[in-house]
Amino acid sequence: MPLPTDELLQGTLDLLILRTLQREPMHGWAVSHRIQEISRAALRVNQGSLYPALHRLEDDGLITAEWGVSELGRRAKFYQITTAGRRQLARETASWRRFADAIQLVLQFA
Amino acid sequence: MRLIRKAARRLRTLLRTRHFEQELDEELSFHLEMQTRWHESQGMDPAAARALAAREFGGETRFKEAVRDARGLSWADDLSRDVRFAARSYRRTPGFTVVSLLTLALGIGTTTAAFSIIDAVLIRPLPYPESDRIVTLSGRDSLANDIRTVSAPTFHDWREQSRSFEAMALYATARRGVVSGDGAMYVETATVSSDFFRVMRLPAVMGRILTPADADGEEPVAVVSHGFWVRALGSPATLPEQPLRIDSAAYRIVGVLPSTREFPAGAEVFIPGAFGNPWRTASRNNINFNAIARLAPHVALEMARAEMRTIAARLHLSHPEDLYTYGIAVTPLQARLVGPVRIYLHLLGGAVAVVLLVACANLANANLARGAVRARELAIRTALGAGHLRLVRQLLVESVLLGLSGGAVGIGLAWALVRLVARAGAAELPRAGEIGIDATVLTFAVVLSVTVGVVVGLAPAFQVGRSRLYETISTGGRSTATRQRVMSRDLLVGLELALAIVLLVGAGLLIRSFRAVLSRDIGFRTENAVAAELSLPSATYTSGGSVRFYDALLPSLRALPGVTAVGATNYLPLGSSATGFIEIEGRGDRGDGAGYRVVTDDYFKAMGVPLLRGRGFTTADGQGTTRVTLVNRQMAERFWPGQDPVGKRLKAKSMEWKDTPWLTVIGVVGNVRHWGLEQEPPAEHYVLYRQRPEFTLSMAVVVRGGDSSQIMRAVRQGVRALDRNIPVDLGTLGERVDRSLGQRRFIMTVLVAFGALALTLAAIGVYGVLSFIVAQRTREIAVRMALGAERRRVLALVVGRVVRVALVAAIVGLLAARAVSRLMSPLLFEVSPADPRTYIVVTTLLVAVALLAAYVPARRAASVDPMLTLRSECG
Repeated sequence: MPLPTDELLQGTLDLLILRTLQREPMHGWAVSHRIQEISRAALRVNQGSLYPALHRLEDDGLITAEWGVSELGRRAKFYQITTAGRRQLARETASWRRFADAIQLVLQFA
Repeated sequence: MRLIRKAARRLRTLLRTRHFEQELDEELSFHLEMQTRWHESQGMDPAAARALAAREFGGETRFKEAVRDARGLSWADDLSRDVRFAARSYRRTPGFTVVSLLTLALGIGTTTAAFSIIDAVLIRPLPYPESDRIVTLSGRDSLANDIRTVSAPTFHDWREQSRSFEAMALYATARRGVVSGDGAMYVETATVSSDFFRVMRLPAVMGRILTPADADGEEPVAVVSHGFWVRALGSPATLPEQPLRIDSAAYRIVGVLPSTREFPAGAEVFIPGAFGNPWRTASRNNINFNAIARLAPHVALEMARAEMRTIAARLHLSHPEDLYTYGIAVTPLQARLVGPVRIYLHLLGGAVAVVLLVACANLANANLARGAVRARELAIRTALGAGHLRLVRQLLVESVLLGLSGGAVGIGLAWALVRLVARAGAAELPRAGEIGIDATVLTFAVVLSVTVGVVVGLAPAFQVGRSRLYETISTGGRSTATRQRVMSRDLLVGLELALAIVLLVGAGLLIRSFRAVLSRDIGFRTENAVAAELSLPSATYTSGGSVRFYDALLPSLRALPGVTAVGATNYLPLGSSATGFIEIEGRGDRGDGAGYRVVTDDYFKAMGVPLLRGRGFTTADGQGTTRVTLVNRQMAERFWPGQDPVGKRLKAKSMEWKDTPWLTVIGVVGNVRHWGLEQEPPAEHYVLYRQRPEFTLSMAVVVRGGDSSQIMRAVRQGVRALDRNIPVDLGTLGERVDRSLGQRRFIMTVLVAFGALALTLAAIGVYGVLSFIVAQRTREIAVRMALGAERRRVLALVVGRVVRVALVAAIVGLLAARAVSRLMSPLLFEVSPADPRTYIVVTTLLVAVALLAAYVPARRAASVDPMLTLRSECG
């Protein structure tokens, strides 16, 4: 049973989106699909949280959006990470690692 | 920075809302299509793939809402819904809305007008480059009083010895007759030394400013103000060829100054003055000049003061006999200009703030009442699921909307008030020309409106927080008059009454002062007399010539119908004057001083100044006969106490140019308060114009009796018949006295008007609260009456409540007024800030008005019909 991303810790979805967009610009569906694929279907991104998150990140200036032509030959909105977004990603990744390590330690030794 | 960018992004989204919605739809349908295609690629048939994708997609509207939230769009949506709702709810209660709007407009309008005046006069820097570096310099006498002026030789010493200033200039102003084209008029002229425009850093908008060469040049030149260029010259595109004639000399106009520059006050024509010899060697007690300077770069005011202190000490050592070398006052120009009106403007600001507070209290109260009436509506909305915050926001939006609407009306009011003050106050107020509604004032008004809206709206918003849903609905919205709520409303009304008392006490003290000033005897009769100020050009009139001029003019005016006396003097009361050193025979030269005025034979008769002793001037007193003088009672009592001054002799040491002859006192006349009603009459003596023809170039002719407008016409014609180039300034003596009371009348009027306004608002507050309470308690009153309570008791119940609130408010207000009135003491005249009569009258007035306001609701309570009320409630 895949875990819906809305049950993740707050801010984690943002982190996943930023990381996904790090390599190349993508449209919303591709972002959710990529997350699902990479996590080997362990994570399922709910549209109901994906699009609000994308717009929130855009509103915060961490990603920008541009209309382009998709693989279907149809207009699609492509999201791209900004410099501020990259900085945020680096920060969030580091703090996620610290957090995960801490949890790991507790699970191991407590 | 990030915040600004974010705000810009949000604004962009907000402005393209429709576009945004379309894009969102497109984005989502694209997602759906991709998902469908993906399912198909996994081997599903198209219909099943589409259905699955749609199911996965879930509640579209719900998450669209979440997207809008992320973009700050839903907020704007809600806001516009709130605004529409608020407008609707105001339309439903037009009475409440109109009264609230008017109250707000009054509060915000007066506050904005006062702010624009205070900002233009007190706060904003003078309209000169780096104007905070401009200072005035003046001497001090032995009591360290700033005498505000300086003598030419002392000024030259200051300039040569000081290092603190970049430039220093001397100037003198005078009202002089100016002939331009065919018109002759009186114009304020300034004779300025060459550095004057360097100190002010004033450029010319046309032509050039004055240069050092102009003072010594062959041809007289002048620079005129922008106002003069418009008003007197008719704004020509080029500098006029035709010269200005000032005192018979022709001055070529070489430049026009920028507009709104009003320094020295009212000066319109600037002419160069050398101020070198013979002024260099004149007496240091001849303090007829003003000095200004610009601080050198990096020199602080205190450094300049320190340097001037050492220079003053040095000058005093080398000129110990001089009277005005005891110090040097270095004062920023702005402080010097606006200093005298500061207290008036502070009082104005205070009064306006109090009115605004009363208006706010009133509105908060009205809003509370409205909130209570609406409690049911709000409770139902809560029951239907509206969040608490949502309701509070709704109330705040309503208040801010009301605040802004009231503010808009208020700005209109402020605009009218400001124009009124700028026009009426032009003569009384420095920098009046700079007053106006500009961006700063508008910003102030808008911020004020929103703030008032929020503050006023907070009161009912808090109540929404407290009200209990079930109770409110189940009791039909009446149980909201809980004890706590009524308390807070009494508190607000009490606050209004207390604030009104503070203003009323201030107004009362100023009225008492004004009456005390008016009850003083000015020393001459003000009614039915016309004064005409004339100035003869020295180039065409020798001293004998000016005497002949008045000898021709005065009898022709005396012959007019109704005229009982005609006289003339070189200094009319309530204007400038000359004071000099005198020596009383037998007393020795003790440095005594007295006023010195030149008059014609009939001057005292024309003014209505009584002759108390001895004789007046007669035709027998003339050029060749004994020099005679009349002294006023003040002078007689000071220098010859207990003696008859008639026959005594004195010398006017600084007023006689060549030798100083003995003047024989021939009589004593009544005191005149030459410096104004609030001042003590100075010791003065009068000499006859025929014996001092040198002082007769500028005279004011006083005509007693006759019809004033006819007399004015006749004076103008009479002067024109003798010399058409002499302008005439006409007015009545009554107007002159009136004008001298201008500032006092202005501030009294302001305080009385605002006091009345505050009292009216407070009365409305009392009325509103009581009406509300009576309406809320109709059932309780009906029950009481059904159980046998008399109407009298019911009446007492309602009125007693008002009396209690009013008395507590009176005590608080009187204590506050006592504390505040101390600050007013410089404006009070022969009245103590603690004047008991004022306090008693104001308290009585307040309680009376409060009772009056309570009367209608109290009557309504007493006329409740218990049967009717209870039946309608229970049935």
